[in-house]
Amino acid sequence: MNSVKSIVERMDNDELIRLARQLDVSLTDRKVKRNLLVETIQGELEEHYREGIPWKKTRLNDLAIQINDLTKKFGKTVAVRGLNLAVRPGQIVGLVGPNGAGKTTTLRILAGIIRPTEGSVLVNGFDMNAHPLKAKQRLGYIPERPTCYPNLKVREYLTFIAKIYRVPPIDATLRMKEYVDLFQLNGLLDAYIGTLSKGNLQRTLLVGIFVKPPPHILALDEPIYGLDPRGAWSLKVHLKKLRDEGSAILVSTHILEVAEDLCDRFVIMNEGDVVGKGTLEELHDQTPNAHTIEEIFLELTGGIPEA
Amino acid sequence: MLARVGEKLRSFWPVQLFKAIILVFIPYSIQFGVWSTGFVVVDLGSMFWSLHYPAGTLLVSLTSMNPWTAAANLLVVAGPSLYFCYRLRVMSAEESPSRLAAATMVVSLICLVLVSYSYWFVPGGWASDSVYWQSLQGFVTVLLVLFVFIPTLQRVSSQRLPRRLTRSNKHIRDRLYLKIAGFAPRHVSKLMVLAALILPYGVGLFADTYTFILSFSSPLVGFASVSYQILYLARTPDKPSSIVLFFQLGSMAAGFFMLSVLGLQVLFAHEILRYLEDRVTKKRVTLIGLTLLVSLVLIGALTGVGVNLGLFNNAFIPFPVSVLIGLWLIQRKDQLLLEGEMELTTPELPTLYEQEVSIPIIYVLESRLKKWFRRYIS
Repeated sequence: MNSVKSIVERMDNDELIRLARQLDVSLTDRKVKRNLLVETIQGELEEHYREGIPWKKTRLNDLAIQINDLTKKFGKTVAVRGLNLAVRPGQIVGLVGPNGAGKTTTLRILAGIIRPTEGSVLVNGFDMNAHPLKAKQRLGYIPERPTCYPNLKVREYLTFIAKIYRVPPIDATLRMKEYVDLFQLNGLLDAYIGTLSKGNLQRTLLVGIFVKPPPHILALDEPIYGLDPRGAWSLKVHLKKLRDEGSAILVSTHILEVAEDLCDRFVIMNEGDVVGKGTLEELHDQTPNAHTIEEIFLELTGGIPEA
Repeated sequence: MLARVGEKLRSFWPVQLFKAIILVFIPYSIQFGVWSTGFVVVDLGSMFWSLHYPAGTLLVSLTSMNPWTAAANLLVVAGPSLYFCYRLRVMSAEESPSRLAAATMVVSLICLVLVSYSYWFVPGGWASDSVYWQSLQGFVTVLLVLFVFIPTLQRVSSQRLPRRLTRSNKHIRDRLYLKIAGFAPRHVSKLMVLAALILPYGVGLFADTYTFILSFSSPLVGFASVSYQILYLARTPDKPSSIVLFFQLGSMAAGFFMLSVLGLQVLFAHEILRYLEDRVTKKRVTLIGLTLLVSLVLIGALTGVGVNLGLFNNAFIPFPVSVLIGLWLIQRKDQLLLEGEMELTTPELPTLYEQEVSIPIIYVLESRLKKWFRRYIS
């Protein structure tokens, strides 16, 4: 509740009025002292969340992401071959591999954008082919090349996403404020998405998926790429926090430092095949000659090139 | 004995009544003119006496109204303002007196209308002296300005003051004012209020009384201010030019029109000063200035239409000097900022915690309606 109260304190006057309206706070005077308004809203929120903050009670399926014998062929080219992968709540799994390894294809299948040739993908227990809406409702996906509605303003997009995910308006307002502050989007809320830089678009999409209450099941394709150091740091810290709170996260990256810093387990892919799997220690055991994650990666994906 | 009397005099009601009584004897209708025939006319009018000085003959007279009726009139028209003073005194420092002030103004207007029309039915109440009625209207206007308008403005502005300026910040503010306007802040604020009171807000055009044709070539042109009017009669072949000066708070309608113009002008002056101290945005000041201009233009246009319809014989073109001075001050500050001669030296901005939030009017109305429904329907 204290975190909710501090979000209210940080809100600007327009946001306070919007929240007051959602809480149906009676304001019969044209001018109200800000501190009084903040205290009134905090009191109303305390009443609103009397029985606890609802999303804190939600639990995920034991296998939040489950990929079974996944194969994807584009004509004669095999992009992914027989992939088996599971992400449990409280885990960040890194999908690591060189360009063309099949990481993005895997995440696109997981997000339901393309269908697999063979195998199945389950999100929170729902098969993406059989129950795509239920599966997609639980999944947050950031594509490698972020695209979005260029004619929507950032604020409109975030409100739209909150409605799509059926987030109650009060929760949506509070969560939007929290993540807009975290990813420093305050000055861009009224900007059109079409005018945003790649980094700012990435931030907007990230706020969009975090507007939905946790626990999350996330599929993030190169999420750090395009973010400035502060944004990257905020994202890493936040992903670890989400993991600790019970979210399941699958991150695809070829930046090994990011993977090492962020992930608990790794799946290393090369040319569509899984060439290594496990924690960093398990990977060390598989490649006794390698000392760093870079060497492990190179060893598993074709050997360390000679100088 | 004397000390006890002094103590009683210092208490609230005697002081307020004493002020009101002084106002009764001050002349509100002051006319000074050099007419085309060559003689000087001076007219002074108070609630209880009038002075007429036409062509070297001094006539002083007391009001022809029954003194009891006059006193009753006085009590009726002064009552709302005195009651407001009392309520303001007992009101807590956080409460806003604006709504009560607006209600007092409306009630005073109604009382004045009632008194103005009821004299026909009061024995001995009829007064042939039109100066008396003008004075009564002037009395109400002055009463409202001194007892309602200015105390409300003081209370509201003191509520909005973020906090006392520290010595160092006061020094910064003084330098800022000197640089922009060439005066110390206390002088700038006084000059701005004086400008609002004295400087003209419009140029009057007077139509021919018989043809109601309005034009610049009309022989009578004048400046209109909140506190006086100057009329200039142009020289024509059959009569010399002359100037007539009215220190008159005018008719009832004009009095309230002047109050609204005065209110906006003082508000604009106040916001200009806050802008110079970086406490409000330029957008806000410009919007208030524009509101003042637009309202003057609208009223000017209405009087023009009135002249064409034969309803009035004069109209005015807006010429608000105080707005021009305000705009000059804004431009001067911007120029100094641009030239880098002045840095933004915000004395002390109110913290987020101390700010006031303006609630949208629709929301306020919705809340009041819901409250009303909850109270009376459910």
